[in-house]
Amino acid sequence: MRNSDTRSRRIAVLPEALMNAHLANAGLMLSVQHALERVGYGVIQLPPSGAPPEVVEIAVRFVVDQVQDYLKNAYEVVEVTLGSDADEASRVFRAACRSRGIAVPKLPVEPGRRA
Amino acid sequence: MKQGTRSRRHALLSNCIANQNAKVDEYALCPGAITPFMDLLRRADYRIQQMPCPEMTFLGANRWWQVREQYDTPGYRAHCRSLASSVAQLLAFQIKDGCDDLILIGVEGSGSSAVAITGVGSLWGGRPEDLAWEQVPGKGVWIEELEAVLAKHDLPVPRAYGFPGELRDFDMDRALAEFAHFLAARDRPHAQ
Repeated sequence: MRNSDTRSRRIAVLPEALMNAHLANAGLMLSVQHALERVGYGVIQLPPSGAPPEVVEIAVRFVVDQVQDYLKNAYEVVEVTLGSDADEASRVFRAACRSRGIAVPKLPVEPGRRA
Repeated sequence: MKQGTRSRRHALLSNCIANQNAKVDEYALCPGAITPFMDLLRRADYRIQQMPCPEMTFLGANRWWQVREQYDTPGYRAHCRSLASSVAQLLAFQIKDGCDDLILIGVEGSGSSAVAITGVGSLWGGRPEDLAWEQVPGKGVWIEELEAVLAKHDLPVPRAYGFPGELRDFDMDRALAEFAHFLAARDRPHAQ
């Protein structure tokens, strides 16, 4: 890091439903996203639930590639999880991280609540 | 938009708009996401598909600045096609029920992610030093490969907008006004 670097070095991995919470009038989820942005988190989006497994697996691989490099360079990375961890992409993400020996702390959100 | 409905407006978003940590050192405009820009997409009911950052995934967070000539290699183009294939497969899933508007948001001034004004410097290479470079009309290498892969998958041709954050005369208020105007100009629907 040199000179006028404004990067926060903090990243949140988000489920697709949270990145697109504005489409579901999901008050708490949208508030969470805005709160993350206000405190300077950059976000990385996971693929949507319901997508073909092979498509999810490849997309997640690229997410984990980014996370691995950020962690190597001492960035903080958290994974925002929704409710009961039902999201398939989140499960694939966690499994991919485990297979590479990467630990990403969870930041749980309960999607049923309203802001 | 009511809960449970699916938007038919889709945005392919350059990674760094939502995550300025993906920018090369000294090019971030803010610590994390460019929230005012994201808010325009949200208010217009676009389903956001953030793309992986091709530069970050190829060279990492500690990469040097690069110009178009340095990205224009068979290896980097192959990397871009690999990412673009993943983007295309996800997009095909997202628009399976139709698409009223598809937009691609790139980054002007970038040798990789520009949609209309790219960064070139024929002298760049070798020992890192502060060399002259220019911003000239043209697309970045990633955008060229992405558009080719989308076409190969018979996906709609996106309307493209380049966020001007790397241009020398950048002004955020003007950029937001231009982007709002771009979003409102949904005059070429991609009905499926």
